Amino acid sequence: MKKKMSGVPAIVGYNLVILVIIGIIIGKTIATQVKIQGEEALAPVYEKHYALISADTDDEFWTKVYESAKEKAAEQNTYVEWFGKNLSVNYSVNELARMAMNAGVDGIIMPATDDDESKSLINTIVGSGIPVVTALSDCHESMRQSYVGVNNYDIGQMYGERVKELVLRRFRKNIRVMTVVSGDHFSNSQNLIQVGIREYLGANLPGGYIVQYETELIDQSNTFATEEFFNNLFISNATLPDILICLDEKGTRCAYRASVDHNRVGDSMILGFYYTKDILSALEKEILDSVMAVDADEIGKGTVDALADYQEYGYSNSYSTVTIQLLGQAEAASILQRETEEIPVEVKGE
Amino acid sequence: MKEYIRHMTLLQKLVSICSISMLLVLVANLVIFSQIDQLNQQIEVVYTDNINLEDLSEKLENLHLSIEEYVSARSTDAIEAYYRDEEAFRNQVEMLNNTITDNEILLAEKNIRGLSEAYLKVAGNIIQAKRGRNVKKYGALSNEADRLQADIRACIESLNAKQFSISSEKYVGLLQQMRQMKSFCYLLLLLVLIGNILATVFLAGRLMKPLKDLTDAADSVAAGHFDREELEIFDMDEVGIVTDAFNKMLASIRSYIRQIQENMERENALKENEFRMQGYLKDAQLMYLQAQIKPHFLFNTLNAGVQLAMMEDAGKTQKLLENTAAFYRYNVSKINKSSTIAEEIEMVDSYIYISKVRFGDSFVFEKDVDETLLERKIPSMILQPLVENAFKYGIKDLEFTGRIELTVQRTGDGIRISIWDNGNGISKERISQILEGPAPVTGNVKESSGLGMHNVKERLKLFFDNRSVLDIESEGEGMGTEIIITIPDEEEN
Repeated sequence: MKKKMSGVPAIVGYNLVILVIIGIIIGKTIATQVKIQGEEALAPVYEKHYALISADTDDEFWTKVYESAKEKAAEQNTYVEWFGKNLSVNYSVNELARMAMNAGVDGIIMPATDDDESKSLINTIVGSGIPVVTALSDCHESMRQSYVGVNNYDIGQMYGERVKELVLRRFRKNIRVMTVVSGDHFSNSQNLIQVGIREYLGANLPGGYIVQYETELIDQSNTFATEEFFNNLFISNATLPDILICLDEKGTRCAYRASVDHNRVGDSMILGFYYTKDILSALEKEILDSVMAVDADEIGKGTVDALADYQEYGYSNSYSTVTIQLLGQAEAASILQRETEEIPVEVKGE
Repeated sequence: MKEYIRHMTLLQKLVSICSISMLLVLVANLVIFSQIDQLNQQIEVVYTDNINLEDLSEKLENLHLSIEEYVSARSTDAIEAYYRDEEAFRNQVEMLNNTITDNEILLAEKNIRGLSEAYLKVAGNIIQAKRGRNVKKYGALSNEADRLQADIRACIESLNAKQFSISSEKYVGLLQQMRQMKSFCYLLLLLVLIGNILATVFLAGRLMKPLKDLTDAADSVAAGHFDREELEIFDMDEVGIVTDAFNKMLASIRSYIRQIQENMERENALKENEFRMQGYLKDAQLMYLQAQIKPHFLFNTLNAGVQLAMMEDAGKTQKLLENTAAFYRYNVSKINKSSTIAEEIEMVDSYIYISKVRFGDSFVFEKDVDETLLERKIPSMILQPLVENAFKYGIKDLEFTGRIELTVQRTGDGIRISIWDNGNGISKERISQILEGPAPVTGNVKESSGLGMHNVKERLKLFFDNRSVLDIESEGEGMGTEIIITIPDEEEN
């Protein structure tokens, strides 16, 4: 009698276990290779490369502008780079713009000033064939293709209206109004805001009131210059104005924090620029009086559209304004309420 | 394949087991080494990008120095150095990414490439301006080149820092992967080792089991247990062949043993027959001796009586004595010999005559014999004892006339010899006892004139090859008895 001995299932099972382990080893090695090499290889390729430049790469307003511009550009197979954000050295807007030009980008979005250096630089860039769209602040004498931002005079008028209300409601006849801006020099845009404020108050404030206007320029060469400026401002009554107008988001944030830190909330009515969740919260708590809300999303999309129009048609609208609104306590509460209900924060359109 | 494995020799199997075991270990090690080698290669390339950036920065520095050297010295060596460094830098720059992607590393490379190309353009213009001795122009261009170089260096440093951060993450990941790989490799080697041990044990067991079975079977057979089952044959290797041969040998031994047993049984039967024959012969001889008390004296006396009766003219006495003498002569001469039916009937006639003289006409004897059967051989002293039994136990004490009939006829079954009487009859139980029961001991045999029913029966069986040729029929008490002997017809045989 002949009989076959069977150990086949055990041998097959054993071999399967060995094969599975070998497969895991090889699979993990391949996965590691893909992980190491895959990210760069899988990155999508775009047709055009725009550079967005801002003075402060941590600013939430500019972050919003960048995200909107990037989103809009992606629809046109274009990538917007926040130029300078990844550099370990701090460069000025003009330096970054020059660098972007030399790097050979297809378009530049930048805030501009009206000084000669900026004008010359923009003209050089445009002369090299790279279109420039200014955002939020303009250099209208340059050859830039378009400006997308706010009407600074209107902003000044709106601030002036609010200052008038505050003066009439709460203050004595003799008041100090301080406007604080960041940068190495005053730009036309900033001057226009101050002109707007003054003209509005001059025309609308009843007689008998004496308004003392002051303007402070915070030099951004020092990293913590803004924080230091407001800390010093809130230390003494002598320096603290009755009404403080901050013309950028960082200044607004530093101002209300300094007022809280020095227990000076209400001593100076703070009017800010743009808003973040912190700023809205400060508004709701009446640490801030009001903030000027600019539609960053509209600016981001508008700049990209302007560049695209220029590249497609050879021209674009040279001046586009976006929606502005002065937010008070009620608006802040409303926005925060909507955020709580997980509705995206949007500035109400006019 | 399976058939091939089944027919492999032991040597081939052992070599195969060792080879497969070593091959498994080899494969496992090869897999492990190849994977470790791949990981090592990946580790080597992790920081390649940083090295390339450092190299680019160094080449930029060299080129910048060459330009400064040429601008300040305008020597042949300086211009050669410039061209050499310019080519080296350009080659390095061309390795950088030039596509627009959202990957910040690749995008930074693109920016560096753009800045570098701008720098190379400015550098070329500086050389041209220097050659043209346009001091103002190359002075301005040098400032621009300084600025561009600073920008490129800043970009390279930023990218290098970012790249280093990413490379470090990859490096940590690879180290972690290496650790995991090490664990898996240990596990793999352990499993292969365990598997090899188990496989070796299994295969060695498979090789040894038939051998052990064969050894056990050999011991068992040596101890005399030939009735065991056949051994299983797993493979047709040497052990399988020996096992097959062992099974055949065992079958042959069993066959021989069976034949020997049959022969012994046959011999025993023959011996038993011989012994029984000798026993019956001794019985007969004893009875013969008992009956031969002074036989010569008896014969001489009877012959003297015959002569005396003849002289005295006493015919009946003479005939009685002649019959008596013939009766005893036949008894003495034919014992242990075969006889014919005719001689046996003659013996019956003598006995009947004597009995008639003794008991007168108290019974009637008739015979119906087929004359053609008279010469058929039968054992001696068969019919007379049966007739004597019929007379003594059947009709002797009857109140009416007893009758005995002897018939010898040919029937379909052979030759039928019948002794019938109308006497006392025999019960069925007694007939069974007589026909099936054991032969009575010699001492129980009655009467000197007869050898007894059992003796007759057994001698008939021995004479006719153990066939039962004697039968007794009786309807019961008072119904008479018929004793039938059916013997083969020799002519038919």
